[in-house]
Amino acid sequence: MKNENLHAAEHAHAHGDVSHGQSSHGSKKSYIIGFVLSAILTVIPFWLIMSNIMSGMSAIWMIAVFAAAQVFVQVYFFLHVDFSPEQRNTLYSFLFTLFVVAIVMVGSLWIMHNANENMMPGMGKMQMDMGMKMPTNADGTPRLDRELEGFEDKLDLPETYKPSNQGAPAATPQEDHSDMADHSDMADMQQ
Amino acid sequence: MSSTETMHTHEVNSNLPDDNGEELLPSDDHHKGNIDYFNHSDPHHPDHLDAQGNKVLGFFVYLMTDLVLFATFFAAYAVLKVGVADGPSPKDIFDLKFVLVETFLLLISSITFGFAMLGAYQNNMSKLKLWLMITALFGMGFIGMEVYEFHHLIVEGFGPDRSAFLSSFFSLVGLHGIHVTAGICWLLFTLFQLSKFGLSERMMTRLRCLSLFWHFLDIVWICVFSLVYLVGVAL
Repeated sequence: MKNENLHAAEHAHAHGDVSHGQSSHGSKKSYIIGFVLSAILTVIPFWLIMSNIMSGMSAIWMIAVFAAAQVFVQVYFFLHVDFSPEQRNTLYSFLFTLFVVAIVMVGSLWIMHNANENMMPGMGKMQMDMGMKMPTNADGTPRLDRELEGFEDKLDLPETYKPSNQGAPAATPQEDHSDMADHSDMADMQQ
Repeated sequence: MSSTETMHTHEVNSNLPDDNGEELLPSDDHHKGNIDYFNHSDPHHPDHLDAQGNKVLGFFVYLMTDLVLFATFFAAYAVLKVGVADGPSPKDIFDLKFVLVETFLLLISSITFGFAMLGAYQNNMSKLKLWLMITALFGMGFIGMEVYEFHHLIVEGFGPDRSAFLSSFFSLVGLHGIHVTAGICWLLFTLFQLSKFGLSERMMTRLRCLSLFWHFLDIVWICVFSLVYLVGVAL
């Protein structure tokens, strides 16, 4: 801090014809601090993964923490976004953008995860959908997955929609009968 | 500390009315006083100064919209990462040592740009040009490595048409690479402008925008190597 102030003061005298409105443009010291911190925050996660010290979810959290730390180091030391009054506009626009980015990222992952989970059984997860070829019969027609047979039982449908009850009008409610009667009338009139 | 304070007090007092100069200088708040000095003390072109500052702020807002664009590409990659289509998974094709070297090329180019900006603020043209050229060289090294990686993958048959994972990978990393390429072109153009116009106030504003752009690309690369390469190999 002491050096930075001194540095800024030197600038004020040395400038002459070059004028600038930004005071926090950093010093050699602050750039080197930012660089060393960034290098450390880069090397550690690479080392953790390359030497197989961590893997799986714990490794992902670790990578995320180091990445977030390095982003803030660089935003502070290189972009010079800080809490000083004249940086307020950049700080607020940066924080708002982080909010939008979080909505885009978390929202996309959340929606696509749910879409995967709620797919029809037998149609497969996303990786199957995009990756694997559909199983086919000898004549080239799509072969039904074994899982697909009887999938209606797994879907927890109302009784009326079960294929075993099709053609059994006794199971359909009364309202359906009136609808059907209306339709048959119309069909008669058209004929 | 005492020398700093003396210089500082001297500067601020010179811009304050004589009668209440001392009262307006609370000793614990002199950092703020420093900033006000730089922002509002130039009696010659206060409006002009603000206009230049507004240009930099406007460019910063553009960078934020660019960040949202990158976020959509990141989200697409995160969703499509599992769609390997019986092709290679991230673990099969990523070489972390290669990526570490790439990362350091970009990181070093970031600090050399910082040194260039310090040269600009010191009105030192030769220092500014030298560091800008070094920055451009490191940026070209980064792009060269990325082109090599892409070419290598495509020759192996792992091009963007191979699977959803590779499509999104090429889109995301390629988008960043295009940005860096544009940054290098802008940098070379700025070097040309500097030799033509010198270090005018307008050139300072352009340099500040370019430095924001360059550091911003380094920050995006942090997210790229973390989400794409490290997470890809770790999972």
